[in-house]
Amino acid sequence: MLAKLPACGDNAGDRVFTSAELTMLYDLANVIIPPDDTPGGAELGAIAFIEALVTAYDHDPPMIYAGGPFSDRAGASDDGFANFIELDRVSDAAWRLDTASIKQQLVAGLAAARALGISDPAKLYDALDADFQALLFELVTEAAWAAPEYGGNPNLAGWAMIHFEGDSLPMGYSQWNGSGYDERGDAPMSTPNPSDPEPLTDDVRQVIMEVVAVLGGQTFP
Amino acid sequence: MRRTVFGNTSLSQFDAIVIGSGAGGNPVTYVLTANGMKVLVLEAGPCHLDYLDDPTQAPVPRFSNDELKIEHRNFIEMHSEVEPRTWRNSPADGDRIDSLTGNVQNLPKTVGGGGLHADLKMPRFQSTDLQLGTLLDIPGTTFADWPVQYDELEPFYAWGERLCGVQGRAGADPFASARSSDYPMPPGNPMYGSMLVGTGLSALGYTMFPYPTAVNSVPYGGRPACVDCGFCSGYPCPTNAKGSTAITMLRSALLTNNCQLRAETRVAKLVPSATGTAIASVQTIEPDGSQGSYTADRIVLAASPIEDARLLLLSGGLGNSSGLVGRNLMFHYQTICLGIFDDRVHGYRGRTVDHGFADFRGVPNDSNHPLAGIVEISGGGLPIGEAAFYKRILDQLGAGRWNGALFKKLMRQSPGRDRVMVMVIQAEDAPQATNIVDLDPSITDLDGLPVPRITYQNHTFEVSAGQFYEPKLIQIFGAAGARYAAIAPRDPLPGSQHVMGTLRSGVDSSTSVTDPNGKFWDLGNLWASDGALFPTSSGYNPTMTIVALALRVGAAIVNPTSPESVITS
Repeated sequence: MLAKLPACGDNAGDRVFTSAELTMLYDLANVIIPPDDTPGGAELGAIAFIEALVTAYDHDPPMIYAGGPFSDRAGASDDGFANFIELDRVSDAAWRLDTASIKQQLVAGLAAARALGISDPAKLYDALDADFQALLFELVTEAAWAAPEYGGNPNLAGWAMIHFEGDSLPMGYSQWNGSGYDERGDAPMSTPNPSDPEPLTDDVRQVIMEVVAVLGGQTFP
Repeated sequence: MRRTVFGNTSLSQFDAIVIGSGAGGNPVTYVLTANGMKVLVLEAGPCHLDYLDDPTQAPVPRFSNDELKIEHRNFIEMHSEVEPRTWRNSPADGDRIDSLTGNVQNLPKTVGGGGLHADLKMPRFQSTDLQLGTLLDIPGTTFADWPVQYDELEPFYAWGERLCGVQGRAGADPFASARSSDYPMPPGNPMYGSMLVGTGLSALGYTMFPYPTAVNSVPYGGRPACVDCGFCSGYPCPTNAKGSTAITMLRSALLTNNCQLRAETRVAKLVPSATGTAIASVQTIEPDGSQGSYTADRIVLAASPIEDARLLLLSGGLGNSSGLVGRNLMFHYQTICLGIFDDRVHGYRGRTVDHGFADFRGVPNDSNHPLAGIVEISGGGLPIGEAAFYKRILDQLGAGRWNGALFKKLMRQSPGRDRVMVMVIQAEDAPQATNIVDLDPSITDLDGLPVPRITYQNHTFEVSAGQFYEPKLIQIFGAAGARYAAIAPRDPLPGSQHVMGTLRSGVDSSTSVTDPNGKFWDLGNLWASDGALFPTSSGYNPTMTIVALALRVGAAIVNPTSPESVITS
């Protein structure tokens, strides 16, 4: 299983978790976002992202807040996100607590999961303690859809999968040209998209209708 | 090395200390420094605007299109792990509700304050909003007239709109009160989703208008036009296209040479004079955690309503002969309606909120048009928040409904982000003497200071108004072509980050904390200048009124008898 670990992030898996824990994390990430014709949670960088967070203070400044104002993905020449930001006294105190707490929750949660003795990852995920399950979900989805400077979303695969353009500056979606606004053909702002890459399917509509019904809303013909 | 002192670093004697560098503090700092006073600004949070005091180049923000950093790692907001707040609905809950301790209405704590995180929706209040003490008589509420009426405030509204740079179209909102001038900028490029909602509004006879926002639709004030990056509501601006008071008024003040800004410098106590009738000094916790002290002739409190009240209570209950410090806390009462369309409406591309309507603001004492508020038309959120939203709804649909494949389909088809539009009523919250900020009896922050405790519950005034308009919101989405529409459930804590009240202003020292100019009745050299002064909340976003009122507070310090004479073109 470890052979399938994605090659993103330096030394992913070497410093914090055991091989068995990494295998479990890998499998659970793929329960949360299953691989199909597009990447799953593991390939979207969950482990590298989690490693980067719990070892954030191995770096100076700590890898908590990516810099600004722009990455180099939408028209800027330099990746300002890559320059992490020094923390003030209060933020530093908060994040030292947070990163230590997350690491402790992960280690304890994985140990408890292993003790359950469930080999099927999906069944294991369902059996997890609710708080640990919530933490894993949060970290795996952050890895998939945060900016790649945090260790996940390799090659912007997470954003591509959900048809999201990601950070858009300095280009943006609408540029003043002196008399009006120029927009991007691939991602218009004031007009409909040229096409829908993935229309709503019946099972997704079913979820929406159930939620609307629970909330006392309305489905229109 | 991170800088914490900006502007004229050689200043050591000050005419005034302004506590807070948000929408309530910066206008005062601007007015005082423009009139030759030496001002020290003490800001508890860090400064993320490099070159803010450099006349040779524009500020370079550390902000970015980064959902993780801004929304989920609290880059600019308070950290509830070390700066918690506590909550209870009433004393019957005991000292606090433990499950609600932590992130309670946390606002940005950074140079620029709460104004930075907003998409800077800047409508004015209506003239009648300031007269509800006279117009309403509702048991259990403390509606009061404002001591400053719309006609007195209007020149300051216009001044603030010019200084921040507000886009809009005069006359487009049929319910708006009279203006002395048009907006400084025309409305920007419209978003597709709001135009769709507009078709529904038009069909039902409502009037949509471009939302007044302090966002450059064209280059203005030496700052660029907004490029509609989409990371707007909740996000400080990486391009300086949003005219926050930090990059407009505070920067101007720093460039006068009359201003010194100390960031990461937290005021821990106001020390009264021997007679108790003035503030003698301000005690601080410095960036490195050591203690500091500063003096000035005048002190202006603008740390946000909750922190303003907390500081006065930490200082021994100063300024409280009326017994009203911390009372009449208000948030806007939000009713949120989601409309999901078959097609992608890409509401995440743009300024988040570019249009609104005011038909649901209502009319005092008219049961057919109960008082609620302006309605914001906005797009959906961003992917990490979207993922959490789907988990929440799948979990709530019952055991066994969650599965990763379905979750992934939801993310890819995106009914909750790419196909959703949202309408939010920012409704008037009735002031109540029992909605208060005080000090938690046992929980302290990282510096050992008692944290603020909120005791708050809604009145039937705003709850019934929200219920009245809920079906109308759903009807609008139906007329706009949405396939599905529903009212979002309310969280235990208010969704609104519009925090008002706690130091209400008035004309009678027994029923208010400050006079009409924001000066404390009890203390000869202490003013307040933020939303704490609001006697009522209106049903419009508060920032423009905070700015106008704060400009007037500053002008009244310069010229108490004729504050309007201080206004510049």
